[in-house]
Amino acid sequence: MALAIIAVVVVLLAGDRESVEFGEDTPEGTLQRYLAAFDEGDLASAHAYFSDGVRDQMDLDAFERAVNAQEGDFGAERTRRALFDGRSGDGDSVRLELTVEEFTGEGLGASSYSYQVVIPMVREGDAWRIDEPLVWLNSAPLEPHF
Amino acid sequence: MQIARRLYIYLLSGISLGVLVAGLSMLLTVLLERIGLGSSGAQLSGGDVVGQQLTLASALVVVSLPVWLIHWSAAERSVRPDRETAPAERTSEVRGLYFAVAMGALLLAAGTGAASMLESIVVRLADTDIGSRSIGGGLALAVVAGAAWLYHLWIRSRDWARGPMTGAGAWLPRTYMYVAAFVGLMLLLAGVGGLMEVLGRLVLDEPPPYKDPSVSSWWAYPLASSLTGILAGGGVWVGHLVYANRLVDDSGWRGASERPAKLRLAYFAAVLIAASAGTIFLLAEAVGNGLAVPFGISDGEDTPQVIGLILFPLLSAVAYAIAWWLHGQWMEAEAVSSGSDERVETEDRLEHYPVALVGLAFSATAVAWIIGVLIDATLGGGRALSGGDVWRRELAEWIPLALIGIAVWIWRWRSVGDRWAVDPIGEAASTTRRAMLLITLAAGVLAGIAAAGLILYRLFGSVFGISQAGDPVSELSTPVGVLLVGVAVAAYHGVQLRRDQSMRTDLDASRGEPVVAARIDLRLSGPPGADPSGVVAALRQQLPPGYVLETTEER
Repeated sequence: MALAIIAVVVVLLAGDRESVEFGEDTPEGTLQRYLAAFDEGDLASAHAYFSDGVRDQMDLDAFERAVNAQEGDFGAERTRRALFDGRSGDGDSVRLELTVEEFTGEGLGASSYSYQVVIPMVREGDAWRIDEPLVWLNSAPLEPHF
Repeated sequence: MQIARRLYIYLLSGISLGVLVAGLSMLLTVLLERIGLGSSGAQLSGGDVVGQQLTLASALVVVSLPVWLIHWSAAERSVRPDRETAPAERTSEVRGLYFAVAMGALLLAAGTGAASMLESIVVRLADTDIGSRSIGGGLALAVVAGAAWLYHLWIRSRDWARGPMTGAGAWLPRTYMYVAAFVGLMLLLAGVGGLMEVLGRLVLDEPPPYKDPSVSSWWAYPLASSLTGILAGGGVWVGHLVYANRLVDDSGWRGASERPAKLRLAYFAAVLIAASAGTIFLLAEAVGNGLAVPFGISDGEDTPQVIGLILFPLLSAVAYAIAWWLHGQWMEAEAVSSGSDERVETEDRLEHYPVALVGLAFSATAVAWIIGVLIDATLGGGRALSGGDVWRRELAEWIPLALIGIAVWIWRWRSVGDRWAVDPIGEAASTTRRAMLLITLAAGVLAGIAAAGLILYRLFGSVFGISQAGDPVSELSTPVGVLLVGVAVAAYHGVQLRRDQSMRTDLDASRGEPVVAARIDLRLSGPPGADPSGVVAALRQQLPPGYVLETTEER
């Protein structure tokens, strides 16, 4: 009985968290649009949200290879979301603090965990850009340059 | 048959309980995070993780709850007082093992949850971006696992209240109790050490070298980590030790069972070993950081930094020394109040031998290393030729460890010598002494064998003209040091062992008991009407000196 009450309360309270639309000219808005493009599979648009320095380090081909290498093994078996915790720094360089919640696997073998990430953002011209090579919100493995 | 049934019942109970705790804590996590104890911010992107979590949690609970209820009810039915077999079930080793493992696992889960929750609270208060901000996950695990742990504690206390327990049914849960107390104390001491360092660095405004000094809240995560160790570890230690002490003070059969328990002595000995090792190591670190100044290799850039480098390990060493002293006092007081001379003797030995062993281990390792460094410095090995301050740095690190280790060893070994002077035979017959000598002999022999192997490999390689990488002096300096120290340690303790053996043999002889070095049991049979006793008597006449032929059974 107590369990049923807990379950009902949890289900009633635990609806999806409100998704906030951040302004396009804010660091949060840039990161949000990058994630939206990434989740839709539009890697070219996602890549455009990286800073010049990051794009020099990791061109679109390298980005696509990194995404295939890092994301290929999971695909539909993984559900994840990014929650915005806060911003530190000021001026043209800030750091966005996020909590990532991931749910991987299927059936009773599935598991759920969360971790924190900090994403550096820089202002380039009028727009904010991501100043770290990423695959979704995880650091991208850099390829050696010859 | 009963053992197989018990194994099945308790195994299934344990597994289903684990799944149930996981499911309930996941359910509670979602609830707590939803009411504000999770990540504080808005969802930036992503899918329905909460829905997935709820689905998994519900499935885990629905599957595991009936399985656990059925099996645990069966376990509980079997110990109902109206059952004839209840005493055997209640005191069975399988039930004892179940409680030891289940309570250990639940405590670990609850402690991990509490630690995670405390860390998140400090991280939130410090407003730093390092570490988890979600309090809900840790709190949920602490609450669910803690509740299951309390339930098991209550059931076990009820088991004890129904009558005495002996054997594995008693000592397996006791093992859990003292292991938990020991681990809790170690976490507490590590937390105190960490807190001393964080507070010291905050006072001196000196972030540790591995932290980015531009990040103003560099102290938040170390502070969270050390406070967690103090609160969670300290709570576990105090709780279990207070409970154990109440058992010792009990005037009934529980106290009678607990007071002579060897596991309690083992706990004290383990704390003495760990706390003395921590004290020696941290003290040596402080002295080494001080010694680095005249050696010109200090990591401190200015006087406050140098003071900090000396002071922080020193303050941590004080915490370990207090734990060492306290446990020594408690163990001694208990032995005296027991009124047993044998217990007093055992306690006294446990205060001396294990600590002497720790001092010897540190000093022997350090001396072997120092010999290696000196060989390098004298004959031009890598550590001297590479330039810079490698060998000076190593000397500053190892000399204090050698000196403090030797001082502790001499301090405790002199007490051992005093004991020997008073009662050499009693000392030679002691198991504690024999174990300490054998452990040291084994360590010395093994270290010597490993070092000799390396030296001979290099030597034979040269004889057979095999090309070998590395400079010979650098490659051989440390093995030579280890070999010299290993041989010296093994020889000294080997001589002590032989002397003890000889005294024990003399003792046996003085008691008039034959010293039996080897024995063969024989069976003598003969034809009808034979006289085996006469044959044995005739055989006895033929035996060489020192041989005895005994009749054990005559038919």
